[in-house]
Amino acid sequence: MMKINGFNNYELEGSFIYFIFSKDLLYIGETQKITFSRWVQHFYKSGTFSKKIKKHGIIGVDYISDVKLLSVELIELREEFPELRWKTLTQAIEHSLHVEFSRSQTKLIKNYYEKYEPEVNRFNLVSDTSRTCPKSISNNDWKYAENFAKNIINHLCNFL
Amino acid sequence: MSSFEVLPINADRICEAISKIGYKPSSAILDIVDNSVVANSDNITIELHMKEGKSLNNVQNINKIRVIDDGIGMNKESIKKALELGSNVNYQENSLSKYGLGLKSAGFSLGNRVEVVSKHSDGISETYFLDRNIIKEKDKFGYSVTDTDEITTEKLEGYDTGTVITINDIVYTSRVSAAKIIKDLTEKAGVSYQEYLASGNKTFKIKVIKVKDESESVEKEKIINPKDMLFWDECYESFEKENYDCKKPCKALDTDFENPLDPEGEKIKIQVAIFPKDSMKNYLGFNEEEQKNIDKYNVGLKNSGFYFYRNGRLIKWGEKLFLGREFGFRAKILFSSHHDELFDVDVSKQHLTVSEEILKILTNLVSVSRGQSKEIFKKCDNLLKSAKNSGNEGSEFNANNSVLEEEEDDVLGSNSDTIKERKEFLETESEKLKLTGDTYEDEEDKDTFRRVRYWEEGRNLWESATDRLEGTYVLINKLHPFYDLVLSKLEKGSPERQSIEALFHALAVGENQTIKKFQAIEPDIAIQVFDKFSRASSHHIDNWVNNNWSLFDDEN
Repeated sequence: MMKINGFNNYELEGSFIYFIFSKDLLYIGETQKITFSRWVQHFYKSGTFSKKIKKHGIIGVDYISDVKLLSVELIELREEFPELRWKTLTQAIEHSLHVEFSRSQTKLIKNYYEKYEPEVNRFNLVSDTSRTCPKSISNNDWKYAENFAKNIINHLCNFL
Repeated sequence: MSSFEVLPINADRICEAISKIGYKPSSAILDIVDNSVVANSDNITIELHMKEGKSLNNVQNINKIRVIDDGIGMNKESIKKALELGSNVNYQENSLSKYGLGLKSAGFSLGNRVEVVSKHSDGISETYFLDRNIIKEKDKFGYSVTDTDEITTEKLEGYDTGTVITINDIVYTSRVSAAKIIKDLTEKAGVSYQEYLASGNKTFKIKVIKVKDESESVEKEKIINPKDMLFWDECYESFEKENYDCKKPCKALDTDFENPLDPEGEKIKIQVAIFPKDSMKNYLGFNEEEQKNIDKYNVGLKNSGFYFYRNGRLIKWGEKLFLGREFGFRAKILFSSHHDELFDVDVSKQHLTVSEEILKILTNLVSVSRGQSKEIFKKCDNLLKSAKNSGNEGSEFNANNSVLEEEEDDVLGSNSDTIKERKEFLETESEKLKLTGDTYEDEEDKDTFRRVRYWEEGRNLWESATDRLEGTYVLINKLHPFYDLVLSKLEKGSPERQSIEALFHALAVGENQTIKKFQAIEPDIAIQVFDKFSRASSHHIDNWVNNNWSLFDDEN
């Protein structure tokens, strides 16, 4: 017996922010397709997350077998803005999350790491938004992205 | 069991070593002034005494340096303590002192003799001094005492308490002059002690004293006022791209972040202000006052970067860290003694080390501000450019190509009646486009067919359209991110801009020609194909823009 599930391209679409947790390393990314398709790319040998492990991980530690993945679909964003803006605003929210975790790790340490990785008292945010951070969106868009990011952190902490 | 033996110390060599830790004369003087600030002084005066017969700009013209304050003063025991190497004073919370070496190392970097006289509740003290010559002769580190002279006593006469530090037997390691030092101090001191000076009723003066026949006269006097390099009180509350007028700086960030070594402890503050281009001071569209204001901001490489303040005192001026030539970006990092481990401030309080982790935090925090700073410079560039170029975008292309032919060679199998029908179909479709802003800034443009037009509609980067009389024109969308990233950066009418406009026009011509002459398919199907093609390629170029935001960064 077997069961075949199929999806067409439209069902895969959506604006997503995803988190890859692995020991002390945290990777935050964004995609406009359902997240698992993006996640898979990360774990290829030449994938971004695999490269980050090489760069920031401790030699000999198996990061890949201890990975926790989490994604957040930004439904509200797709409802409130035209298609042309989805990618840019998702990137703005992705960057705002990096800013928030640069300002403070306390919430995530208390809500995730103390539960699942108790030996980690400071995580290493290994993703980088320097190339993708939108450079010319309005201040109001940044305020929107900042609030959205704060909301994501709150929801994430409650979920965990 | 281990044993411990005391080893001799060469006192003079130690004094030499601490005097050579990289002080500039002005930084050394300000390090001595730190003691006056710590002592809660309301009045601080720096005196630079010139050698007899020398003028202000002669090199090596200083004979003596004095710092006078009306702070809490010291009794004899406190003076002795202050003269110890690595004095173990119980510093107040957030004191400017750190290692107990400042007075000695700064003093000896300026001269061979450091004298201290203080007025306390028990009166004016004798003069306690450290003298390199005596220390060398005795081969021991220690102080000497002598009677306090009349002039020093007079300096403290008007104050209930206070201290005079005098540096004698000045050492010169460079061709420095009193004029140079006073200039350096005037530039630095207001910024270094901005918080202290702004805290009310403080007077901070620098005087150049001329001595003739044993009488002193003031040759030059400067009053130091607090100076905020971020001009925070003058800043617009935020950078609003659409309304920004390029006249004033904008607040770009005002937040704090956790100390990674002590997340529960005191946070570190960061403020960022972003400035208009210095060349706006010559922009003819601004009045004289506005131009002067921009001049005052002194925007340039030297003043850009991060200003690190420890306990309200400037440690590092305009540190560039990871910044490039981002002239309009200024940030203040405000930390306290609690964060010393994190920033590793050196003895001279001129240098600090920023850890990798702090660098990463700062990179993330200021990323948006840096982008906005570049936006401000672009806005300024556009204003400066628009002063030189007026008229509609695309007008140069249109003027240069008024007789451009768009017909291709006849295609075999095309029926001319069908071509005519399809042409009319396209013209009718084009008339459905809601063209607004179809105005001509330049009267002459009215006679030229506008093959390239800019508009703000829809999601596609371009749309092709047909004019009944003249033929194909292209509409380039100013709302598309490609316009923002690329087209707007290229000066209107520049060869690069016209070349890109030519490509868009060619795409539109190709589309119309195909619809008219590729008669194997129905025109509505052909239009659908091109609609899909425009959407897909516009979407793709949008993705390309998203991945290349910084493409034009070096242009600033």
